[in-house]
Amino acid sequence: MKLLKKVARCLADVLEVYLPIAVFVALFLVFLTNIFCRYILRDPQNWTFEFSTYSFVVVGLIGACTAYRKEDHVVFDLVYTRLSSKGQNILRMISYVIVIVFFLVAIPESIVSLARLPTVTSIMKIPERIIFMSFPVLLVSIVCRSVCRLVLDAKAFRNKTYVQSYNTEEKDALI
Amino acid sequence: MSWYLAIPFVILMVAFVIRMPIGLGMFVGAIAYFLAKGISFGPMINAVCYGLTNAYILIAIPLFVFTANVMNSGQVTDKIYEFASSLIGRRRGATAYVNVVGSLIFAGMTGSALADASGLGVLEINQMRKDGYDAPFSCATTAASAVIGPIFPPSIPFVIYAMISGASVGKLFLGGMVPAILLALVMCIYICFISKKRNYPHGLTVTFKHFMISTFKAIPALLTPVILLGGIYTGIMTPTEASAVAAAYALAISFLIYRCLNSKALGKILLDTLRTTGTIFLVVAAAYAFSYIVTAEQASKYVVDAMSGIVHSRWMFLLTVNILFLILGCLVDVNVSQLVFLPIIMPLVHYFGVDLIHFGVMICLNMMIGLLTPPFGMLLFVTAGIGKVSLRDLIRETMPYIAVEIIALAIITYVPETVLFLTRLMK
Repeated sequence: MKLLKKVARCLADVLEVYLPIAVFVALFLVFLTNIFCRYILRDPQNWTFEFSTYSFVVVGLIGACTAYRKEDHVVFDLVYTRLSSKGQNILRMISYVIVIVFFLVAIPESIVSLARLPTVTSIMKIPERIIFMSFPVLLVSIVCRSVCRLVLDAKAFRNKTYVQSYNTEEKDALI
Repeated sequence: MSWYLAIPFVILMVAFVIRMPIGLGMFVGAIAYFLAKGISFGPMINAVCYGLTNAYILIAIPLFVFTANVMNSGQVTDKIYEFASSLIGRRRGATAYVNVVGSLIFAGMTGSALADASGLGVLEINQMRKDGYDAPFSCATTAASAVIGPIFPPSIPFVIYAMISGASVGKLFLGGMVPAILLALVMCIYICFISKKRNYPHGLTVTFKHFMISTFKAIPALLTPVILLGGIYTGIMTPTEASAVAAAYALAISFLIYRCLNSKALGKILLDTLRTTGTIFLVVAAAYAFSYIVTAEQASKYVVDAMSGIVHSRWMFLLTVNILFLILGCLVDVNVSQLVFLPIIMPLVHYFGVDLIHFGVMICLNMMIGLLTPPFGMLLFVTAGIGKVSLRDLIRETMPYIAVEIIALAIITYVPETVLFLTRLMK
């Protein structure tokens, strides 16, 4: 079980942190290369433009996984903060259940429809389905994390502690 | 337009109540709409993926976020603060003025109000408290002055508005300059009044030598907006390219001149950039799915028909929109206002013949004031956290600032030249 957790954490780190950071750094460097080639060398490179636009899709969508991991996403918590810890516990569980159910419905079709996408990028000839798979990756990542959090919240509810045990000040953790 | 359109909006409301992240709530709403209609998710996936691919201008956003994080990570903010202090000198309430002027200068380097409040804001609040200002006023001044951030170029909300409306980013940036200065001016008038009333302390006397030293130290930082805006308006670079150059420049001065960055700090900056980018882009991606639904249901046509029956003049329309978005600003996040509600009213902007640049600057300022208005005022939360003050005290001190900023908004709304005269000069 410990090994499984370690592997899951490692996978999540690579997918949600290292990959998008690497793509962002590449985007930034390629963008600068584009400017250098265009204005200094007077030899514009089309591939740099294409690389930037497609890597931006990856950074935006996978970056959303990172933000979800850290609970950075914008929430409206006026009702939530006025509830007891039990009420908050229940609301969190309802929220996770809704996300899991609807995203699980969308995942298979999004994977199938993107896998069938025949188009390739015009210059680098990369199949667009590879780049756009960031979208199902986002859905899967959010479902996995929501399931983990739902389990922890369900445990807190069963034990009547009702306290959120992930992403607390002390624990900036995997889930 | 069918009743199915109500599904995503009702689910979005439910998301508000149960504290589901707004972007996820929008996606859930969109999925529910497609399920209810019994149609494939294909158009939604295409709208999201191709929407992001075609929005070249949006690439500027992570780059602006990165620049802001680099600037906030080291001594750059200190140099700007020292320079602003030496500019203000010895007048009553000097540190409060410095807060506003510092934010105006910092606004030329970043495009985000939250970056201003959470970066330069820490320095401003601490200094104001050290100088004897009461904590709620220090936090309120910092929150209010951070509103200038996205109005003075560069600006992330302007970039998103340009993507929605098709307006020129360069012209929007130019159009934001005078309103930003106007905002700073009305805030300074209020500070002048309140400083006398509460007998706030005078600033330190600044000698010419001290002024020259602080200016010299700040020059590398002050050159950032010059490079950014100079690059755009001389036609050398597009706004997106300028954002990359500004980020590279910010990195260069932090590493080589101020020597305040190391690889560990850079790693944290990259992670923070990713988190902020992800936060914005979940809502952007979900908004593409929402836009598809709104377009498919021809909702805009009905909104235009309904509104044109009630509102008969351009000025009445602007007043209505301002009131509507000020109320929205109290309830929802800026990105939601901008990406969900703005596309619905854009056809009305064309219908009433409102200039896209004027409308863009006006609506972005309106939404930024929303960052100050309770209950959902992100700037209030950020500055209350930094200054460790109660929200109730902070809101009480912020109210006069909101009032003066609404006056500035009214001037910008009904005197379009405040926005447009610079853009006309550039023609």
